Amino acid sequence: MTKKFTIAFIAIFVLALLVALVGAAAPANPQEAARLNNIGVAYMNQQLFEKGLKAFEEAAAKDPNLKVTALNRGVALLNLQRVEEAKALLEKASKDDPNDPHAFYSLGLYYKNSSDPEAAVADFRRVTEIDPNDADTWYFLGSTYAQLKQFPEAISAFEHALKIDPLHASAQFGLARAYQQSGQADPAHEAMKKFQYITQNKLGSPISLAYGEQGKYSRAEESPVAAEKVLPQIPVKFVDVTKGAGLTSRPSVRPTKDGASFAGPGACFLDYDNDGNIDLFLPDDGTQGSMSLYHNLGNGKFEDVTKNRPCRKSRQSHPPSPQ
Amino acid sequence: MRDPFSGFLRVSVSLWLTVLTFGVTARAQTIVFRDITAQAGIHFTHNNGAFGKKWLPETMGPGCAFIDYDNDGWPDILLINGQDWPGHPPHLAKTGRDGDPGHAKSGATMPKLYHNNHDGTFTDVTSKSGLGISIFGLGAAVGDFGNDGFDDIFITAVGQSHLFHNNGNGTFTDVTKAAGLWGPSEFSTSAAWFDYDRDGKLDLVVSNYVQWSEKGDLYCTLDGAHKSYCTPESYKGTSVRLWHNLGGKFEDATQKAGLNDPTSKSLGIATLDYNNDGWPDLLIANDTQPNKLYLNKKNGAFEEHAVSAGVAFSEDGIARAGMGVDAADYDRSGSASLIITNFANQMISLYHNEGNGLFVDEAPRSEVGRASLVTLGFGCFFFDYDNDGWPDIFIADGHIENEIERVQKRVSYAEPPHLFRNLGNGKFEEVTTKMGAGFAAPKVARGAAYADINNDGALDILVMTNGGPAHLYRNEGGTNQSLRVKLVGAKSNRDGIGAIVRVTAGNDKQWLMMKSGSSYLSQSELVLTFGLGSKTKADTVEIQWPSGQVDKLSNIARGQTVTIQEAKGVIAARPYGKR
Repeated sequence: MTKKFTIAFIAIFVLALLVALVGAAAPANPQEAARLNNIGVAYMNQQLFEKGLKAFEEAAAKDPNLKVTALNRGVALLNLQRVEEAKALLEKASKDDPNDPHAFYSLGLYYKNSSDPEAAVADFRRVTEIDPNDADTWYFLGSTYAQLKQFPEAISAFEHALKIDPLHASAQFGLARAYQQSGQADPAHEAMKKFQYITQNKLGSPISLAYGEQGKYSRAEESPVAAEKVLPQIPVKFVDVTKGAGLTSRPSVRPTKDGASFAGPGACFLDYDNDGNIDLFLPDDGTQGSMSLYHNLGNGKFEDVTKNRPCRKSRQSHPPSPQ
Repeated sequence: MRDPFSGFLRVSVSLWLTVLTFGVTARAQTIVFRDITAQAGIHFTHNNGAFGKKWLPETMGPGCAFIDYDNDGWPDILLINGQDWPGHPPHLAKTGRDGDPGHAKSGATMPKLYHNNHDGTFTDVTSKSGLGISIFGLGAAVGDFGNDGFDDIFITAVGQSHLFHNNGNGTFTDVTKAAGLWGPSEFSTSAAWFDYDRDGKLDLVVSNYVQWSEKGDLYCTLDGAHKSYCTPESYKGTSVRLWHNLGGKFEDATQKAGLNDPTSKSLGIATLDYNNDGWPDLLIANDTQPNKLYLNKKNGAFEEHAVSAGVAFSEDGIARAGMGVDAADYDRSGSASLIITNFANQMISLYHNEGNGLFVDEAPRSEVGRASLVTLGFGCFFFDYDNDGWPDIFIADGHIENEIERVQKRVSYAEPPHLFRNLGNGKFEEVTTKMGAGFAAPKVARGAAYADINNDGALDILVMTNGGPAHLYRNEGGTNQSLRVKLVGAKSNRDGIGAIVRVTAGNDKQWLMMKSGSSYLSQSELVLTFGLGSKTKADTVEIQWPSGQVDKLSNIARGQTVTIQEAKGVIAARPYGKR
């Protein structure tokens, strides 16, 4: 009887100890949660939405009070096309932190791409109240008004976006379309001309549907991590070591025929012999008819090896073709 | 453990829903698209020529066409093929994997013509047809350019495209040179027959992609280590080409018709009359360049209106990667709207025709936008697969780059297609996964076309895959009724291409245009199918011929294909189900 009682007592004690230990391990770890959240943000930036979502979920488990994880899970789910789950989390996030524009912005995007543009208008309006200076928000507000065929409101929102960012290509295009659809041919033509000027001269490019390219508030949010210790400031200065490094065989500035000085066309660091030290290549600058290759000796000095390593001129140097 | 009661509840609720749906619409249908390729006797593997260098044309094809070449009323099948690059060892042909063991010896791969045996099977008749030439083929367009009653074939290719005249006896003659089409060596993609000057003779418009040659192939990479297919931004564009039919001979009318535009990088062509003036206009889908909308000026020339009409760019202002295109009045507004397939991370375009010269992209607001965001679409068409009188949408998907998953995790190389059911209120519902596992399976699809291959009044689908097989899907399980219309032009071109057919049944009013082209590299049958739901007949059928002639018929019973001759009326009728 006593023995049984003792065993039961010990068992209860051990159990209690275990509970205490587990309880001690469970307290929120804000530092680790913030770290995991930021890893999630990095995954999102690589378009790895599954991994991003997993990291945000782990972050939320480490610190249930980290508000940003609801938002970020919502953003990840939205990009994974799991829209209903995304909507629920984003709504929660917008209530948790009604002064953070992110959740409202993503909800706006969700509603704009579903059958409820009116709800999108309300969300984008809320973002403009929190931050009136974000051109993308005004653009999406205008674009949603255009969907609803409320063209005066659309035009006003697009103009607002363009006041903040005169090269906002999508807002400029939206403005032209809103004028077109409201029957104002001349301003439509003017606005479209401006849009084509902006895009053809690559002064601005329209908003794409890819993650991260729909405005700053569409992205997952990082959490601030307190630095563990502050490092002492190191003074930095730059010293000209050209001469000492043996890079003097070619002047970087030379006079041209009309007396003006002419700078070389650029330079390229590369490790052409895979010895772990970055070498230097100077292309033909058009005046001397030759290019130069300097070998990094690894001791702060370079050796001119142009003659030993014939760099044959096979074609005119030009920038690589865009993809 | 699962609550047994909830299961019961669910069953009873769904039963109730079924009963209710039945009661209200009386046309509950369970439709599937069954893959019958093998049992139909179609054994085809596309040779894309790929040998490791990733030359751009390899990833673009192939297309296909339905053509009733022997006029027996049953659509036959034409499959377009590529070939091995000159000087590079044959790989597919060596094994005869294109389905013809004879090619194992000759080393050649060629287009394939399959005759419809009227029993759900097809016979390969390529060798006696005269179509078995080895070219780097991409697409096809079908039309009777000589008005002799037999449909001819134009095959687009990298290099020289070819025109085949149908001799009416199961053979074709290559008339490319005799017809004056020999010469241009281009990267030709889609093509369409249409009568732009309404002289009764079909003209030909051909889309061209970019300036590409084996020597000029550029190096692009996704991961910095391996070559990938370049996007068209790396290459210079080429103009579409317009061939004016002078009566057996063609003249290049590109310049004088105002279609010359070397900035275009064109993949898809739709002929449509977007302003309802009776003259066929053109929508050219361009890849990374603004789309073009050419309004027919009725004097042999066109005027470009894409920017002012709102179809050049996305609503955000992006010149998207337009691939395939089709036009139809999907919401019974009276005007033809457009779908255009685009790249991954771009929605497809659903340009609604506002009836005032303007289009508005309704894709974001309807299911089709979000559902198509991560897929890369090629073949596409409006067709009423469930015969409820509302055009639904089919999209064939597949990425261009087999390494894409390494760099973009949410995008895949093989992708499921999309089937969007038209809900009749401007909205669509994706029903792909309900159509059977084979249909919804991921594929690297390109061209796609539709026809009723088994005379049951329901439209079947043919899908081509790059470097892979063709897939023939039979539409099964539908209970709705339909009426099919074939046209025989007299003053107008023989196929009635460009004719508008309007059908009323009770309060339902719908219309379709007879057309060549559309989709991507492909052509659907030259027969129109009108879904009638549960109605027993079409009250009126009105044909507005390209010649201007208008024929009005009434009380045409469902369940048959009627052949209507211009200014004459019904000259033949064949009930469904008959072999």
